[in-house]
Amino acid sequence: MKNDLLVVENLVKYFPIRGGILQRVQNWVRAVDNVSFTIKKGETLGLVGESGCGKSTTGRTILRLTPQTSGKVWFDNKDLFSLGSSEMKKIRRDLQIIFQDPYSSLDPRMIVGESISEGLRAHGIGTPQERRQIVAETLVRVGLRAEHARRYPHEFSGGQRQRIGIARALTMKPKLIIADEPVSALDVSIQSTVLNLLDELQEEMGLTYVFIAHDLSVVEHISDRIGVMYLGKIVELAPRDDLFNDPQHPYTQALLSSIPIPNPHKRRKRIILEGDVPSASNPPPGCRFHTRCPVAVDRCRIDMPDFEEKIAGHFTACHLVEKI
Amino acid sequence: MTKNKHKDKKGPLLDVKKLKTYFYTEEGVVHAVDGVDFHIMPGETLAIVGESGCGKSVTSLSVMQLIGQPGEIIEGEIFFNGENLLAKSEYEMCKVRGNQIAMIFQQPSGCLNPVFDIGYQVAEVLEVHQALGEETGRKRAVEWLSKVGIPDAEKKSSAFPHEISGGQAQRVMIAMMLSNLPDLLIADEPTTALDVTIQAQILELMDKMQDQFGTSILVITHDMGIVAEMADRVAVMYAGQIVEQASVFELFDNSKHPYTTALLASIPILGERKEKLSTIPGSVPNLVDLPPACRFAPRCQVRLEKQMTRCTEEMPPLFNVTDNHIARCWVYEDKK
Ligand SMILES: Nc1ncnc2c1ncn2[C@@H]1O[C@H](COP(=O)(O)OP(=O)(O)OP(=O)(O)O)[C@@H](O)[C@H]1O
Ligand SMILES: Nc1ncnc2c1ncn2[C@@H]1O[C@H](COP(=O)(O)OP(=O)(O)OP(=O)(O)O)[C@@H](O)[C@H]1O
Ligand code: SF4
Ligand SMILES: [Mg+2]
Ligand SMILES: [Mg+2]
Repeated sequence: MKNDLLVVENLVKYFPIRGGILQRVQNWVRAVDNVSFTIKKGETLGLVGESGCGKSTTGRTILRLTPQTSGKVWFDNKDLFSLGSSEMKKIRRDLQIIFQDPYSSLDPRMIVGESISEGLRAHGIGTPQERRQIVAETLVRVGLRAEHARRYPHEFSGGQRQRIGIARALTMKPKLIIADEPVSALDVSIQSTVLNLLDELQEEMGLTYVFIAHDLSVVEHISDRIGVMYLGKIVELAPRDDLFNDPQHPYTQALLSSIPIPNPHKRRKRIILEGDVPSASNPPPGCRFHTRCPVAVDRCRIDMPDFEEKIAGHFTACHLVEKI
Repeated sequence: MTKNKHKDKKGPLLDVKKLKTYFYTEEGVVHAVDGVDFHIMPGETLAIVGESGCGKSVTSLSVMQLIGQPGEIIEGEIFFNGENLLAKSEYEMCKVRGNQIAMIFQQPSGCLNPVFDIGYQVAEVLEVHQALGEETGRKRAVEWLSKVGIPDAEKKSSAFPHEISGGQAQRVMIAMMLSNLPDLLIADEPTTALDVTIQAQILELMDKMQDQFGTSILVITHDMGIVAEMADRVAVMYAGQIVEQASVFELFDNSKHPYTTALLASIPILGERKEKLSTIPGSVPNLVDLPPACRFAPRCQVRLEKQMTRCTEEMPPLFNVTDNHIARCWVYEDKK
């Protein structure tokens, strides 16, 4: 636990579904359902999974951008959910987020210099002169120019706007950055520059990342360890190479085989999953994956499998995976 | 691995020649498609690949003649089964669009009618084009819905478009297009909005259909993985032009155009971790002001290394690099 910068324990987030005249709660969307993981300082944990599986909600709940239903999060050995607002404000500097769509997260009426220094102002860091200096340095650091601070967001390309989003997170000198699909909206040739930038910054500043994406090739490139989510749960979590070379969970196996490989000599047999992901407001009993699992047995339809360390450092939630 | 079973039929199914489609905007003339040539043989899959805004969708919409104001096809010929589509009346074109050429669009919105349930809409296509009775049509529609991965298709077939997710709407449209059994299927980013496990279902389905019915496919994508898995041949587009064209193996093993090579080097490949990804400096040119030069020149490292001056002075034509491999780059000039 000493080296762990972030510890997430049994995190649960349900969203209420209201209806009727009285707008009573009629059901719950089980967006995040008992998720646990740890991240060491300087490490990158990738979270992958298909649309709606709860990746963003996991990130947002950890940052207290949305209140948790239950569970615990320790950051730097502090119990985040028990902190008062002034303590939380202090710790927010260390926890930053980068969004998928840098355009909607930047105020279009504000020059980007102001957007980038917003956090500094809110925390009363530096004089205006010093803040301008920090903004200029950070812009250069992310591959833009100091004079770009005077421009408006619409004057930048998608890749440049994502750099501005990164610059904004960096000015606070954070310890942990949650990057939620930071390159998904970018063209491939621009993606690679942003990925390289994130890599360099990590090395230079000792940053720790939670990297959320649905593109496994991108996640594999950047992550040390990877968690695979399905319908609100992490079904498998392992060091990158173990996950790719020896996937244990049937969902991970299908997911990996579904990804088209940019090499025509490697056309493969895909594991085709039937049907669709069930609704998070009405998840199936037992293993969440059993409705699509090609190898499910009776037990899978009744008992929920535990998320266990089946092999050293390699966690899986599946009845059919033997513990070694 | 050509799936082409109709090699004996000589001519191409689709033959596009010197196509130019421009948009006349306030900013100026957008050279969206600027002299594009390609063909597709019966049973063949051609992939057009390129980054956002390079003219992929406009190319396919031009083939379908679905270019609206302020756009216009200003030059070129489009032969389908030997007939010039550009010479057809709108009425004749309508019949081609319904029967022989089907198109899966990037955005499904607008393709589904909000007042009919989805089963009805798929059945209607089947009834019209395959002369099925109402009952058989409905039954087949349910089969197609389940083929494209709509769960509980029997029940879901009575859902209305607003009651299904965007990903499901995309798949209903795919079911409508595939069930038509067209000679040519144009798929414009057919799976970009879908999750990978659903994408795998759809790609598998298109594959099977091609094997079974010898359908030709024009697939448009920015995903090199999909290109590698599906295509027989590949055309790479950059700024309104095809800059390289070759068989899929030749393209991935032996890419010639500096843009293609740089693009391939910049993508992370599952299971082949690179320390650092290559990047392409700069950005794509504005399609309004295009100098008479290689459109990739401002970003081209090869030009700098070889200190080539011609690249910025004159537009390179397509050179034959080897048999059936062409590249629009001055490096290959002596090979013409
Ligand atoms: N504010 C909210 N109110 C109600 N339901 C929500 C809310 N935010 C998310 N959800 C639901 O919670 C589930 C998880 O959503 P989340 O955005 O975390 O998924 P995701 O994995 O990030 O998906 P994507 O890849 O599409 O971004 C989904 O079913 C979603 O509809
Ligand atoms: N209706 C229009 N009016 C003006 N310009 C247009 C119009 N439609 C397309 N364009 C321009 O034509 C060019 C080619 O667009 P096209 O949609 O073919 O790109 P694409 O390669 O399909 O990109 P994407 O990968 O983003 O779908 C772009 O520069 C675009 O801005
Ligand atoms: S013509 Fe010149 S600038 Fe264009 S791709 Fe070839 S080398 Fe590069
Ligand atoms: Mg998300
Ligand atoms: Mg397009």
